[in-house]
Amino acid sequence: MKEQNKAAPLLEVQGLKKWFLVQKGLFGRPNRYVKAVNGVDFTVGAGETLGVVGESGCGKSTMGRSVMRLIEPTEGKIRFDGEDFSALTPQELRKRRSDMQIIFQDPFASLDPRMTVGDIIAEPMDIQRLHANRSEREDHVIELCRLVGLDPDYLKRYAHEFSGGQRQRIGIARSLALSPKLIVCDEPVSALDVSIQAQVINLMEEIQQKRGVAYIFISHDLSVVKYISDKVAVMYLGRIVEIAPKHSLYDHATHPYTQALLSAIPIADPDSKRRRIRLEGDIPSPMNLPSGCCFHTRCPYATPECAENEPELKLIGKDHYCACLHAKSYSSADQAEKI
Amino acid sequence: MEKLIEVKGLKTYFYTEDGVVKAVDDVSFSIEKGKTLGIVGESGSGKSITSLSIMRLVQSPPGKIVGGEVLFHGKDLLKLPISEMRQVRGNDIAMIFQEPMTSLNPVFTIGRQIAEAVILHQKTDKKTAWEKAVQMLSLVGIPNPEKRVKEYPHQLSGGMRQRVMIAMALSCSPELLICDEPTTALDVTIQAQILDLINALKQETGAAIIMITHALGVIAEVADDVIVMYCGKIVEHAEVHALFKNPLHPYTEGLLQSIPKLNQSDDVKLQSIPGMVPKMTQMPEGCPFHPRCKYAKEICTKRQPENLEVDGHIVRCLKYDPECSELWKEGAR
Amino acid sequence: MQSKQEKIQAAERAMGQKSRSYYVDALMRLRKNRSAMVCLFVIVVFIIVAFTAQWISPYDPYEIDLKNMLEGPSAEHWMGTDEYGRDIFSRILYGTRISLSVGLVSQIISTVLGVVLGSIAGYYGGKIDMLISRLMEVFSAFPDILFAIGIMFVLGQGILNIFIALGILGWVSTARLVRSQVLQLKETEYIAAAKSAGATSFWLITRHMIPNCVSTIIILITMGIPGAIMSEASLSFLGLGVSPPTASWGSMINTARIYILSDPTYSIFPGIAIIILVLAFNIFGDGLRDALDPRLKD
Repeated sequence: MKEQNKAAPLLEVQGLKKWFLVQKGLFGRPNRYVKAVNGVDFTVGAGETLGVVGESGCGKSTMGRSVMRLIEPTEGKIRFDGEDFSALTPQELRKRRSDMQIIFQDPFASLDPRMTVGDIIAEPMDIQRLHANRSEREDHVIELCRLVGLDPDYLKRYAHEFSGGQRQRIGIARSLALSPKLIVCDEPVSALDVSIQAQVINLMEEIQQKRGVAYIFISHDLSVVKYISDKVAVMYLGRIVEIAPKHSLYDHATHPYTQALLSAIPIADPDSKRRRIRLEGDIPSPMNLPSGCCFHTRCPYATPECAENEPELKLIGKDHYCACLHAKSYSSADQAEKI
Repeated sequence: MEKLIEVKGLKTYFYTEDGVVKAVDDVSFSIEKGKTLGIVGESGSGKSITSLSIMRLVQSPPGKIVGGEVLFHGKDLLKLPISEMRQVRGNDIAMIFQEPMTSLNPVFTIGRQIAEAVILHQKTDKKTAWEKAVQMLSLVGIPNPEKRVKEYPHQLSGGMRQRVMIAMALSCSPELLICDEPTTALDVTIQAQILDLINALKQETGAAIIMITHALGVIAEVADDVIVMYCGKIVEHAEVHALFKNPLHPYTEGLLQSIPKLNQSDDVKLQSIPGMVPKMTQMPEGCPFHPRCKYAKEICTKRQPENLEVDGHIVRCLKYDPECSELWKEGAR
Repeated sequence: MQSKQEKIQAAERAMGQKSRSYYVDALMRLRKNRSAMVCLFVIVVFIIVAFTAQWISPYDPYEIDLKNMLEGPSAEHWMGTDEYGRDIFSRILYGTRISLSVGLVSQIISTVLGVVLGSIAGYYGGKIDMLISRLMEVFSAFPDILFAIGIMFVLGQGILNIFIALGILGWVSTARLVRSQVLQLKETEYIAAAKSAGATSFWLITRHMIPNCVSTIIILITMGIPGAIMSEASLSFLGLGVSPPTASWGSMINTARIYILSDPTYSIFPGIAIIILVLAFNIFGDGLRDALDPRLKD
């Protein structure tokens, strides 16, 4: 759909890590960390949508915030729009933040209850001193309202009077205030009712077409991610286990975890009969990561060597990478070779 | 088949500062033994209040069951004295909630909590109750039940806690199990495990199930019959295949079109239902769905639709009312 | 049945009004609370009295009249006279000034200290937080009144020193609460959103953190005033408060102690004044808390 300039993607992330210190090592014992994000590489092209899926605790939200440096990554390189984003000083960073914005999951916690809707939407402009006078600021806010489908008459109201869907529109308007090139969307529709979800998803697509903004769309819902994304990354325990253009990923799901996720989504069709891959047990704690492949404890196809060797992302199809020791490459004509 | 439970004209109202909220308004349905009834609806549709009304667990005040009957084996639960109702709860009808952490007492071991429920309802001694607890835990697929039975809720993961809740609910072999969004707080792979478990247990115990959820996918996987609720009313009631194949009510149709599906081609655009659920204190005149309905005609703003039987569905929409259905035919011309 | 209809009507009326801000909302809740409104009225009366004492009091509170010492209530002296023949009623009216100003000024001092230190500790965390938190622990390790006595010993008697002593005494609880609130607010998503737009720490603290703490601070001030009034009375009772002949309720009770058998009304009237004012502030504070933070009530 969107042709990318392959040479220079908008965002390029290499070896991103975020470890949270949970226990200081005493008397020579090593420090203990939660390895929330543990070495992640990906790129996002301008105007493109990268979907990130995974279950709770897989580090997808931490990854989104580390990319924006809302939390400082422990390690890794972030190249954004041709410059080294990870090397910016705090002062430089504050100015450059306009280009990367965020939308949150909880439409109730993400709007300051003491501010009017108009002030919430205008806050990023005020912070960056975008407008010299009030009327310019006013016009900009009204324009954003129109864009996200909010009635400008509501601007003097407080956020608590709005429903979840409208609040999410307010959050989207705020994120667009500085005309960013990339928006990190952290589960933007998970808290909404089904009929409202579709409204917000369609709105986000429409905005992408009008403004050419790129999204990192974080969600646990594979169907939504498939709908909105160009490229999808599957995360498990702080790592990307599979990343590919969406059709390759959904048609040729290669990593056993991706396959299990796909087969676990309930499908709104009582006649659909699918082969089920059922995962046993729970996700291990990110404080004590399993050795070797982090998925081997739950993997139905695990072999002894999976516990020893850590798989790297390897190319198995066109732009299709998978971190599994047993993954075989396929040619696009073949159907998915499922291990 | 024998009707296990029959709800007739149930009405539960809330008297709030902002006015009367008709959370459940004239809801009727019945469930046969061994069947699963799915109730779908968005937040505020009254689906949870319906189940709480059956259990008579609605917070009062402000809530009050103001009308209707809940016949369980022909006995009206709404008229039972509260002491007998307590016997019904847990023993005949059990309930599983969305958030297993708040439904389990954090200071007791899970074994003790299950055993207590067994002792309370089945008047057994402690030892048998404890054995029953271990047996229930293994039934719901918890590994090492002998060890796990001595653990506290916080030591278990979300999925494990939900299994414990199910074990507790099933420990007295209830005839009806009400599941209120049992998998909403869980991850997809864990959700699949729990849904499989619920389906397997239904086969094994022959209990009937009411599955309340907002996720149409979950309904499609487990339900035999489906009720779609909107603003406290049942707008459509049909067999699950019929509902998904041929939704009659515009709201059901809209819901089905507004979820992205995995097996859909890229060209299919999501159809959203415009607008939002009206405030419960400011219900529109006529059909409550008309402000968001793409088929709405003037008559919908004036007349309340009644329950109609069409093609085996029960539908509450004027489009199918013989008295005014010509209006839509004209529109098609 | 009727009450239900009333409720519905009230709801409809409320619905007709457009956008209510948080504080307008709180004010409406407060106005429904009858006992809080009565107490507010009492407080307002005391404030008016404090401002107009020189005009409304029937006698000069410092006028010595040795002919009429320690008399009980009479038509001339409504609450009797003290050991120098001064009119007790007039002295109580003037005492309102001391009590109210001590309550207000000491709360302002402790609130400013508490908000600044608490928000710095909560926002920056780390070593600064540790330092301030330890300081709070040291302060709260002493019994309040002993601490105040200690400060008064060092600084000496006088109204100004009471302000300082009670102000220093009160900042710890304010700082604790503000610190914990800031810690919570720091994690909210609207702070993250502002940060992602490039907001500075100063912006975050002044635009988001403090406005969201204001209701807590208002509650703390109203709840702190009666405590300060009591402390002033206690200090004055112990002879460490305002220096005579200034009229203060606490010092009046202190002198009346000697004459408790011969002239019991002398100590009773200032005592009643303290009770009424403190009670009014406490009940009003409760009502205010319920109005500003409805979640706390349930």
